[in-house]
Amino acid sequence: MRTFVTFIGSRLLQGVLVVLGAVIFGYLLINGAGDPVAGLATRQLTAAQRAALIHQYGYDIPLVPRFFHYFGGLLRGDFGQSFHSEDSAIGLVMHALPQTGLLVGVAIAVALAVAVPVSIFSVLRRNSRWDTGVRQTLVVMQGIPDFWFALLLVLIFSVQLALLPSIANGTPEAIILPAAALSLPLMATLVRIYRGEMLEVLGADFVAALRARGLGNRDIVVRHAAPNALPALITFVAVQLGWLLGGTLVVETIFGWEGIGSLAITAVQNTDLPVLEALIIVVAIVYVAISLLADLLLFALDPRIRVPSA
Amino acid sequence: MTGQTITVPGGRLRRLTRRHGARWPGSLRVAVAILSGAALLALVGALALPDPNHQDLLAAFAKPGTGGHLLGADALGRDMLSGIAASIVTAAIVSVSVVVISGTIGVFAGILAGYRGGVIDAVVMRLVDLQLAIPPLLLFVAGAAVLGRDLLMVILLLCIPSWVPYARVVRSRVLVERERSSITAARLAGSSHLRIMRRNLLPATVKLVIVLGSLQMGWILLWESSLSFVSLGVQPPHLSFGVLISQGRNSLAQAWWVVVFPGIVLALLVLAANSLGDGLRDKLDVDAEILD
Repeated sequence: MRTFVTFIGSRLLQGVLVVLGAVIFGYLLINGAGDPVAGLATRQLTAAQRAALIHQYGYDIPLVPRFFHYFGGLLRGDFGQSFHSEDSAIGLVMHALPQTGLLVGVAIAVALAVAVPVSIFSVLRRNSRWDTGVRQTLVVMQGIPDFWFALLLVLIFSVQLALLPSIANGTPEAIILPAAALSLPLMATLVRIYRGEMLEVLGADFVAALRARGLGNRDIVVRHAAPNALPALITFVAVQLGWLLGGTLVVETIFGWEGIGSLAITAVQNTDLPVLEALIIVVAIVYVAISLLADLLLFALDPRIRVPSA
Repeated sequence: MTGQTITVPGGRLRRLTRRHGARWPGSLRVAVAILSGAALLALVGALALPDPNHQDLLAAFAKPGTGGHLLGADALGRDMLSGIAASIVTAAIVSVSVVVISGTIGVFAGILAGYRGGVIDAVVMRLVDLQLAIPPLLLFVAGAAVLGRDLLMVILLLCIPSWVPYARVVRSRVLVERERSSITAARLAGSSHLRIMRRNLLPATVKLVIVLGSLQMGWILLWESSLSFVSLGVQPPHLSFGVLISQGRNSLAQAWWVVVFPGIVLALLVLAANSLGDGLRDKLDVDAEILD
């Protein structure tokens, strides 16, 4: 229990520091450079109008006092107003977040559902023609750009076969193509990690002991190697989530999926600074929350990390 | 330690033959074949092909192989093959620049942090942690919003997270290397710290850095084209695979070739970069685990 409390405590503290870092980083990046009113102006401004606009939005206050003002707002849940819509910055982000969550969740679930059995099969038949085939396919799959794959899917299933919608239209089928496009590169990476980790586990002493007891290859792989390699897979998904989310940027744009990726692109095109800042902060919080969740899951699944100094 | 472990069947054989310089790993041959093909195409494109931005409305949606357009033409009659050749040049500029810049920064930071330790080490490692905590997607998006969008900015933005792996890998290697008695001997013989870093530590990390750099190239190619695809990267009239594919996106229903061909070439290039990394890892005998 004691280890659990210190473990979670230190993780929480780290998480808070990371979020704080993201807040400061985002603030500096967005306020330290560029023209704050570029996104506000819809037409050519006179110098006086410009100055009035800058004053109205408080961009004439020096960087540091303005940060504390901004930070005070954050603590009250006030992330500022979007430059380009009637909504608050945080409202737009919170509206987009579940959409991306759904898409990424489905993509990860699909990728895992394919990657886990394929890896196990590949390890069962290791160094067979089948295993070599899987590994070579993976190398090729990792090189396929996801946005291009997404367009190929549209070309085949929407344009040629007219089976599935190429744009988010509210129907449940609309998630199939974007989720497929996101899960393909993910699948390749997951198989590589899981397969490698299982082979690692198979080299452990306890596996030799199992073999000595007369267990067959199949039992060892399925009942011992597969579960023992799972923590590595969970850690990988949690740690790499930020990189995996990169694909949502393009995939959401292609399919008109109104999530974080689309919102980010619109915000950049409109230089909508409050929305960008809110995005950075919310995504950092989600990121920290997910790695905390993964740690809890690992703690529950893997007794090895419960032993201090192990 | 790493030199003796043989995990691949046939590894011993490969090791023996390699000593005579006879055989290259298959992945290296694939990489060299694709890369020299791409270089040739880029050269032909620069010397002999029409300007990739030259519009010829009479040739709009020319099918592959018709009207002198080997890979067809897009909605404005621009030659796809020329576009692809120009994109190869952009891809090469971006990936090589990012690897060289971020590699130099990362190796420098890694050697300094590993060798001197203390405050320098703490600062470098906290910077590394911070980089790992910020999703690159947001970094690139916010960066593109603030810094602008052109070739130079794409290169600089991609460098921000790219130096981290070099710094980590080089630092952990240096932590091992600096305990060697050869370093103590060099110190006793009067070498300055700077000389030790340059003459003893830097050479020890070269192989690692080469493998890491080639593995990273594929990743950079994908990010550059993705950013350009969503108009956060290279902007027309400059061409990149992302720009080409995004231009072709709206005419997907009329002309499949405007999207399919650039994507195939991009995928081949990424495959070549990954195979180059894998092949060099085998050939230079670099421990695979340290890179994951």
